[in-house]
Amino acid sequence: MYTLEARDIHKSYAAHKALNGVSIAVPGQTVFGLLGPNGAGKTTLIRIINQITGPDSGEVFFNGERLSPKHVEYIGYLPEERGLYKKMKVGEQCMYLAQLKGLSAKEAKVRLMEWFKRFDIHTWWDKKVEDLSKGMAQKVQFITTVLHEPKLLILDEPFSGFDPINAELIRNEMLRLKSEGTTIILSTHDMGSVEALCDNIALINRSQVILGGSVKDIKNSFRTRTYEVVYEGAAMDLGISLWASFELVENFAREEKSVAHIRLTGDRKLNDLLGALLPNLEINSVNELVPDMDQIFIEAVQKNATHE
Amino acid sequence: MNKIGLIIKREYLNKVRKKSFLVMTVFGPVIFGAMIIGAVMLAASDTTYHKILIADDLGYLVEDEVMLYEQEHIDRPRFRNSENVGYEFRKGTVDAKAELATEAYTAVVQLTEVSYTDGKVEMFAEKAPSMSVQNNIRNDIEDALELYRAKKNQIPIETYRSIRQSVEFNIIKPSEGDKKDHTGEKAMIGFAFALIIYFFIFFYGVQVMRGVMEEKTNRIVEVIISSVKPFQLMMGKVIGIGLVGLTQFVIWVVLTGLISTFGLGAYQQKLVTMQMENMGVSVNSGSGIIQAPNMSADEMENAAAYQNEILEIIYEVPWIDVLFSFVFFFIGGYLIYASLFAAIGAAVDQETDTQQFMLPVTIPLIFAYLVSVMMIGNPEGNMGTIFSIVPLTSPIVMMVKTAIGVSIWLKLLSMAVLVVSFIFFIWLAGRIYRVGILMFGKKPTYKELWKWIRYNG
Repeated sequence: MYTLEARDIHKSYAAHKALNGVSIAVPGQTVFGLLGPNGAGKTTLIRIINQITGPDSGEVFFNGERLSPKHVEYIGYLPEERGLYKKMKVGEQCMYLAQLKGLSAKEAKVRLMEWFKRFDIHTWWDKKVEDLSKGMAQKVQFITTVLHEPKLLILDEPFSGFDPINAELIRNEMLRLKSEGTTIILSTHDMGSVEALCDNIALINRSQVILGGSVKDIKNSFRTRTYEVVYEGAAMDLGISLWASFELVENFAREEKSVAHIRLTGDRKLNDLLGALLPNLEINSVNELVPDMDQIFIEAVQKNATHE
Repeated sequence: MNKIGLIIKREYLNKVRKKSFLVMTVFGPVIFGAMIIGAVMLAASDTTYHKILIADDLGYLVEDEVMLYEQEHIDRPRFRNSENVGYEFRKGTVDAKAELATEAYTAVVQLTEVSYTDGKVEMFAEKAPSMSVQNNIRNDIEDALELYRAKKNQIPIETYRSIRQSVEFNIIKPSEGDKKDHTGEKAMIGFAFALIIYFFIFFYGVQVMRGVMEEKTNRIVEVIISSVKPFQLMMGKVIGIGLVGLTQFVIWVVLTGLISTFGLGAYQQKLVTMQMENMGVSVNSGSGIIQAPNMSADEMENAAAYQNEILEIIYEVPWIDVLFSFVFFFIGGYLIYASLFAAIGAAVDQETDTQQFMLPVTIPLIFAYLVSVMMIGNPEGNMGTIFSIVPLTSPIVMMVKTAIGVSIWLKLLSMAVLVVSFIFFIWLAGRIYRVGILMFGKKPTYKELWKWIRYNG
């Protein structure tokens, strides 16, 4: 059973189709990356999951139950465009937001104290929000999002505005929460954190999911059996050894070393390549060129664009 | 329901704890109180000293006939000198400009032959004396000229006075025990309540609008509506700020009452002496005008009758109905307008963009105000009846109508219409609000607002 499942969601705003038959399934205790270019429909999907808006058609299930207002308390949402009441004090504001999520005042206070200590911000309680820096406000917002211990955490661009140290802090908190049983939906353009954090992803483009599955499988499917070989020797020798059996993608110099990208063709294996190279060249290193999420993202979106 | 309570609590405490609220709440009544006292003081006295030169071409006023006449027939002194007015008389025509230039006088009054025949008198002054001083001078000159003309025509002044009677026109309602009709005065009292509702709707409506815009532009709104329904957030704000308004209103009423009571109490002593002076108890010196207490038995009677009439008006106003209606229409009107203002706040990103949408909301409000002003002049007109039913104007117009006295059916109809409409307007505003708070960028058109209203989900 999935913590969250959306089935065939359609949503239109006047002439604009925001979501066109989108389905996602988020397994429990995983981090799910919701990716896509700006305006693809991610925010609309997130708002539907948060019941801020409703779908025109399609269904959303939370732990197998049809999504209903009572689930609000089990979801924590950090929107991309987030703010706080500027004139309110930090503590007061956190108490207010926590109580809106259904915590009692007493419980909220205890948990807030814990979090404030953990983030080393317990001196901020009586500070006014307008006196906080952007990064400081982000910390407060993160706390208010997770304070009611949601089963499902939806984070939209959680790292924007953070310096690398605080971004790392949030990253670690996410992993800790995951290990404690929280399911996380992460919407971001930062592919580095997708690779570091996500178990599964869905890539939305032009209102549809164009790529989905586990990060491992997707990366595998985007492998091109290309290897990077760093060697010493003449390019001529390289050419002779490859001959017609392997495809030389490119050959260039890097830091006084020669580098070649070579694709295996047919049913040849890496061993065959090494066998061909070894007699002629001195090899420094061989690595498989695995596409990173950035490349996969761009490739998938471009392929989708030419498809249309 | 618990959540809407939290929102109301936050809105309320947040506003009430603000310094500006404290300042407004404390200084509001101080200013009101000061204004009331000030108005009383101004009415009672003009603190600057006026030296007035009365020049008379023919000289009757200065020399003999008119003055003599008065001595014979009337026990009332004219042109009394007092703490702040002094008169001087001169026969002939004076160069008013030159006299004023010497700064010996603040005003010069010139009587000519035409004054005696046609009653035209000119006063020269760089700064006109207060209305009460002007009135005194005018009344005294009028009185003197009357005496002159009476004598010239050899009519005894008593005869003249008995001929010259103004008409007092009283309207009696037979259905109400042949009492005098005070509809106009009662309309005034109703208007005062209408005015309070008008200002509070405006002031707190705009506060709601600003609050919604703050949440929207701060971008906190998306966090909150992931916990509560947009409608709850909107209503929480509307109700919370409404309660702030009521709190402020109650404090104002109490404080204004206290301040003006104590303020006037302290001032009363001075007031009494001033009134005594005005009645001519003090003795004049130098101008040769004879002084005497000047309140005749007639005038005393008039004053008593006037007081009785005020009491009568106060008794006639249906106070319980007025106060009940005040609360009801205050709340109903506020709910309608505040939710509309909330919708405006949700639709735009910046204060400057509100103008366009404010207009259709403020027009009925201002129109209602104008209707109630007109009702003072024409309390029983059809206009008042119609607009005391129309929901956008009834909260204001009905207050005037209620003070005059209104049939129970009209009142019930108006109340029913108001209830139905505030439910409708809150619903309408909620539809615009839920879409608007998440829309950023360009200002929507009315066509887009209409689309928002029709969106589902």
